[in-house]
Order: sequence, then structure tokens, then C-alpha cells
Amino acid sequence: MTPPLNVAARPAPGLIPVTVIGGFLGSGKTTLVNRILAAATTRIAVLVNDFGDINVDAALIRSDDGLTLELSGGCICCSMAEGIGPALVAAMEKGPDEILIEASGVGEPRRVAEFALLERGLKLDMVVTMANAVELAAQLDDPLIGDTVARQFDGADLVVLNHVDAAGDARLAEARAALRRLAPGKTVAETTRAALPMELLAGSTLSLLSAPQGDPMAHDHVFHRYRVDTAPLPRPALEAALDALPADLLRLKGWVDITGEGPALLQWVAGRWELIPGSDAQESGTHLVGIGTQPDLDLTGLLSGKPLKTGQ
Amino acid sequence: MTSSPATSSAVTIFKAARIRTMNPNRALATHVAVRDGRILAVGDATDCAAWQATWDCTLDERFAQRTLMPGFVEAHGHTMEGSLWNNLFLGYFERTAPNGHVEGGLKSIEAVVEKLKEEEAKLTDPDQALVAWGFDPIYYSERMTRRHLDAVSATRPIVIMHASLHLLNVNTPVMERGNMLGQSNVEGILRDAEGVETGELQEMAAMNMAARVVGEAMAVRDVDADTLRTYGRAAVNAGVTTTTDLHQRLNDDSLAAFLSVTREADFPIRIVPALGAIQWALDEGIARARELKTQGNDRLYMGLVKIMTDGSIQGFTGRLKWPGYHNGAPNGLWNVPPAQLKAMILAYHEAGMQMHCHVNGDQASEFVIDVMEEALTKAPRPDHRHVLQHCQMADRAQFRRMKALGLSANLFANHIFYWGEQHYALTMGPDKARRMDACGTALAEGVQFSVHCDVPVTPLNPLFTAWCAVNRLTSEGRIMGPEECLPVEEALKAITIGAAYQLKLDHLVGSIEVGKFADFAVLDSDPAEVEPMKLREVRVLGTISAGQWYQSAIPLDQAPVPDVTIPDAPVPA
Repeated sequence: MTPPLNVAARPAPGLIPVTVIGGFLGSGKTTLVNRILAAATTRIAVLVNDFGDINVDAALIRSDDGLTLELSGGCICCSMAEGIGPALVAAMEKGPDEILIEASGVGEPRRVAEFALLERGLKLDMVVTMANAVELAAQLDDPLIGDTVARQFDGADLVVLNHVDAAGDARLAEARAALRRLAPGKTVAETTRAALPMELLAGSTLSLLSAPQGDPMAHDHVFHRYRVDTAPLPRPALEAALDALPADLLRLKGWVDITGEGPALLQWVAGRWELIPGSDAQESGTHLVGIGTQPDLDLTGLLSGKPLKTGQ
Repeated sequence: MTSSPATSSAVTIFKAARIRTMNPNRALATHVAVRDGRILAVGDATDCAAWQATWDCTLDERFAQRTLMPGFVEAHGHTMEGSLWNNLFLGYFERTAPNGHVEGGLKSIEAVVEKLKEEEAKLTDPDQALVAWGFDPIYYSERMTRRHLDAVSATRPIVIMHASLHLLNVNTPVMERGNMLGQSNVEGILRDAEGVETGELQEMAAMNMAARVVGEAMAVRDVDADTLRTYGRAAVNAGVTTTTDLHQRLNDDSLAAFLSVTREADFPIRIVPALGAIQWALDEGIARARELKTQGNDRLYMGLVKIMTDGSIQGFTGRLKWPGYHNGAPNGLWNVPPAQLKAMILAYHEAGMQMHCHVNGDQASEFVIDVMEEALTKAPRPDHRHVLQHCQMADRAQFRRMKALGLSANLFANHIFYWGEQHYALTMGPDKARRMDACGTALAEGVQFSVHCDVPVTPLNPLFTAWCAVNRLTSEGRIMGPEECLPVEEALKAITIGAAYQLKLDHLVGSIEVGKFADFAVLDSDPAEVEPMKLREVRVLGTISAGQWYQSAIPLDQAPVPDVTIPDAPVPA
């Protein structure tokens, strides 16, 4: 086992990472939110939907520090109506380390993510869309909701196919086929009770970096961890490489030693990345850890400017 | 004679050239006697002589040359009209402000920009935002961009709300302050072919950011006393004496505003707010609705519940059945997952509430009909009076089911004039556009119905709404679906007793009958006697509410609005 990297436990100065969790009613959004909260070592503000609710999403979410904010229903005829915007401002005022937004069951996660892209104090971390393996095929066939469910996969960084334990082979196969069609090229994690590796989602914590490195996880071998320890990298090649990394590398983080500039903190999430220079690195060289779904991703090669293998 | 119960105070007799009562038992009269704000008697000159012999009467002959009708009832409006006019109106068609002035009528982008410049010049504080509303790009050949608005001011934030309320136009300062330039991943920031931001914004995130930049001027706030008073003035101008406010959170603050303003001696309307169910968790909403039902007064009626289902048709967010939008746009949006909507409707029904359900597209109306059928089978309730609001795309089969279930329809007749051409060409296509807002079908199938304006979406003016239902003329002069045209008499019922029924107030308002409130619209002529195409030209002099006269702020010699150009030979479509 490789020892954890020594990285300062903070994201870009002042920018609060935002995770958006979308998916239709019954896909497991609340379960995932609760898992994240239960595992959290940082202060996470949560925006949850509460209107007209039978399955009492908000009541399931336990947060006793005033960091849970309820989104009431606005009217879509008038897009100016109250909703996510004011709730996000209220959440930011509480100074959280991260913000988690549970989109409404009919919400489009990519539209919700636009709030994080526009708000100067926030940065979008990851857009997760959940699907119910038992219901997905039937939902897509339902003229009332099929198109709504399908649209929720647009713009997702990670698709979580949940309730795979209850689906049975036939339904699971149908659900997988549907996701290949609706979310081509996207990483699909199959879960039971939304049990995702938490470091996959954490935007600001060190969990990714402090977790055991290099071992395939027990998680059905879906996720793989990578480590890069290499020499300084020239900026132009590095930036080009960061733009070209495959989307199934979900998260990459650590120190990059930039030739002639010195160390910078890299945060790369599903294709969005930032380099924060002049950080307090305590060792020289480039040291990165990543998590993704390719079993044999040659990250060191890719970052050094080596092209992707054919077929990847 | 002292035995009459009506001897407690003085009687006022209003004499009119004609009183069209909308009460079939006595359709026409010339005199109406009022005591304590209620109708004491209805009759003619002979009856009047008998009243004068019996009661201590004052004869009011101010309206001797006028027509009285029951005060109009608007069963789908929003008091937001009372605050929107704090900002500049930029409509293509003219519209009357609550103060009686005609605004809008801007027929080119240049005219819009000139109006903005004129308004900008009046502002003294350089940081004050310029906010406008009612702009509708569909009428212009040219698209407005931030360059137009930067020419008005390159430093002061400018935000223009579209009539659809789905888009905004902003100038560069708003984009800069809102971090909206160079945001290639935000689809709600529209771009031209070269990828340059045009200044048009859509969807919640970008629109919310623009609202944040301008701050107070666009802050979403609950209804307040001033808004209600201004709305009351707008109602007087239109002959309206009873109106809804059909989506409110109705928390304690807004309830207090309703309670206090409706007790003011000169508040001219009766108001019927509806609790917005999606703004409350289900149990809390039902508890709140129950509590609200115990509140109110002669001018405030609580207990209605509003259920939002889909979006709007002109915004392409209404939910449609196959084959969907004519131009191939994707199907619309649900406010709440249908399963949750169903649970909500069942729960409010079982709690004994009357629901007004917003349904624009035919999939939304069919969904609500399905759920209502289930609700009424599980928990039969006589006289539930649930209403399908807008109900723009329901077909004959849906109307037959509505009849069978006792559901009412409140049809959005004004759409035919304001967006009929867009529906014909883009949203619905000719076939379905012809049967939009199918008043004729509702009448033929025996569905109880009314027609509405959804103010501030279109102007509050029931006589204009009736004109739309009767003539079905689009802004381009196309008669859209002549088979659905309503006879004038039916349209007049729809804006009086028909709307009153939908608010469960038909025992109090909606016709001129003994015992009802003395709420009248004072008109310069009898709408039932004018040529149907001239219905919109009948002038409202003001209203009488509870026997008290309120004069319209619109001068009688002012041309009627909107500025409709009626072609010599309207084209049936």
C-alpha cells in the first residue's frame, strides 16, 4: 500500500464545490445524500426538495446544524420564482465546505448545475444522475414521464444505476441497454442502496488522497484507483493532456510540478479542471491520485503527452 | 311599514338605461335597490315607485343613460399585476396601466429602444437598474441583443422580462456583474452563430443571476398591501368586482396583508386567493388550507387550492400528448413528478378542498382527469367544483369525461388573440390550434366553463376576454377555429355567473339578484346588443361594489386597448 499524499485539505481559495444529484423519484437520491452526510468529515450544506412529498425526503435527511435547506416548488411558468437561487445564497452564507443539491424528481441536473457554474463563490464539482434499475425501462416507456427521465442523463458526469439487487437479470439488462443509449460513453456505476465509494463524490475532503491506493476496490471492481508520481511537466503539454483525459476518469487530484513554475494544486473532475499555483506543497515532483473505471489507464503516459491507445 | 327586515338603513336605488342581470328569472331591469351593500330589489319604474312608497329611498340617476351588469368575475388572475407596473412596460400591443395611462404599443425594436432611452433619461441614480416587462420577441422580425440595450446604457444594469416570463434580455453590465461572459457550459446564456453572448437568458440559473444583479427591482416577494390596492384599481378599470389571486404561498405575512386591505373602507374588490400546493409539504399544506378556510370576510374568501402540473404552451413547457409540438420541440415539463401530483390531488380532495388545477397541454389535462376520476371514485363528493384551469388543449373526449366527472373548465380565451398565430405556425399546428380553448365544445358537451386572462400574462379585461371567445380573432386577423366561437350571451355568462360558480361564490356575486352583493359593472352600452366584433369597444365607466361607486381611471375618450387591427375580411382558419 502506498502512503497517502501530503496535500493541504482545501479546495481553491473561497470556492465551494457543488455536487448535483439528480434522478427520477425512487432512484435513490435521498439514500445517496444520507450516505454522503453520514460519511462526511466536512460541513456539507444540503438543498433538498420537499414539496408535495409523500416519501418525506427531507425528513429522512438528518442534519442538526442548520445546513439542510428545503427547496419549495416554484412555478415553471415563471422561471423567476423562488427556488434554487435563493437557497444557494442562504447555503453559502452558512460557510459550508461543500454544497450538495438534490434536484427535484423531475428536475434536469444539468440545468441545476448551471447555478454552480454562474455563482462566483461556487464551482461545479460533479453532476450525478441516478436511475432505478427496477423501474428504468418502464419509466422510459411511460408517455407521462419517459422523456423527463431520459433528459436527466444529459450532462451527467456519473450515472448511478441503483437497486441492481432487486432488478433481476432481464430488467437489469434492459436498464443497461437503455443507459448505453441515453448516456453513451458515460461512466455507469451499478449500486445497491446507493453504495458508492464516497471519495468519488467528495469535492473538498482528502478522502480520495488518503484512501488506500492502487488496489481495485471491493466495489464490484467498477472503480479503479490510479497514482501518478513523475517528473515536472511543461505547462502547454499538461494543459492539452488535461483537456484530453478520458471522461471515465472521474476524479484526479494532487500536486503537479510545472516546469519552470513550481508546484500547483490540480483538481480535475470529469473533464473540468483547475490548477492553483503557489500552493504549500511539501515535496517536489508531480504526485497525483485518481479514480475511474478503466482497469489499465496509463495516466502517467497521458499526462506526459502520450496519445490515448486506439479504442479508448 | 316597519315589518320589513330591510329597514335598518337607507336604500339607494340605482336607475339605469338597462340592467342586464344575468339572472334568467328577470334578465332585464332598469332599477336596482341597494341596502347595506346588498341588492334589496330589482325591477322597473313601476317597481321603483312601490319601493319609494315603502322605504326611505335615495334615487341615484347618475347612471340613467348607462348599462349595469353584475360586476365581472375573473376566475384566473394574479395580484402580481399590482406590482409589475412599478417597472416599464414594453408590450407590442397597447395596455392600460392601473392609473389609466396607455403604455406599450411598440411596433419595432427601434421603438422599444427609444422607449428605454426615454425611461433611462429619467433615472438620476447611476446605479439604479432599469427593469422592464412585457416584451414579446415573436412580433418582431429582428432579435433584440445586448448591443441594443448597451446603446441605452453601457453602465446601468438593464433587464427586460419577456411576456412569456421564460426569457430575459439583459445588457453587458448585467452579464459582467453576473459572471455570465465566457461561460461556455451554461446553455441558458444564448449565443449567436459566432458564439458571442446575445444577452438573451433562459432557464432558472441565468435568469436568477440577472435578478440578483438588479436586486430589489426583481426580488420575488409575497403579496403586500400596496400591490393589492393597485390591483384593485386595475379591476375597477375593467369592471371587475371579484377576482382570484390564483397562486399564493399564503404564509402569515401575506395573509395579514389580505386581511387588512380587504377591511379598508374603499377597497373595491372581493378577492379569492388560492393556496399554491407545491409551495408546501403535503401535510403542512393541507393543514394550512384548513386553517385558511376559517379566515376571511365579505371581501376575502379563502379555501381554494391551486395545483400546478405542467408549464405553458407558448414557452414549450406544456405537456402534450402525441404527436407533441408542431415544430418538433421536445415535450414540456412537469412541476412535480406525476406520481407526487396524483398523491397531492387525492389528498387535497379527501381533505375536502376545492382544487383549481393548472393544465395547459392535453397530456396534463388528461392526467388530471384520470386522477380526478380515481379521487371521485374513492371518495365521492357532491358539488366538489374542481376546475381545470387554462385547459387549452383538451379535446372533445376530454370534455365529455369532464362533464361526467363534474369538472369545470376555465379556458384561456385571450391566448387566441395574443399567441394564436404562434400556436398556428409553431406550437400546435393548424389542426390543433383551431380547437384550442374550446369554448364551443365546452358549451356543446355541457361542461360548466368560464374564460380568463391570467393577468399579468395578458391584460385584465373580461369584456376583451369575452370578445376573444366570441370572435377567436388572432393578432393577424385570422379567425382561428370559427366552430369554437361562443355566442355573446354565453360569453357574458362566462365572465359573470360562470366564473362565480367556479369560485363557489355564485350565491353571492355573478348576477343581479335580491340578496346578493350590490356589485355592478357600469358600462356605456349593453354588450349583448352591440355587434359581436365591437364587444371589446364597450366602455367600462367604473364599478359599484357593495353599493359604493368607483370610477375607472381610463378616460372615456381613450381608444380601447389592445390596439387591434381588424381586417376588412377576417380569414377563417
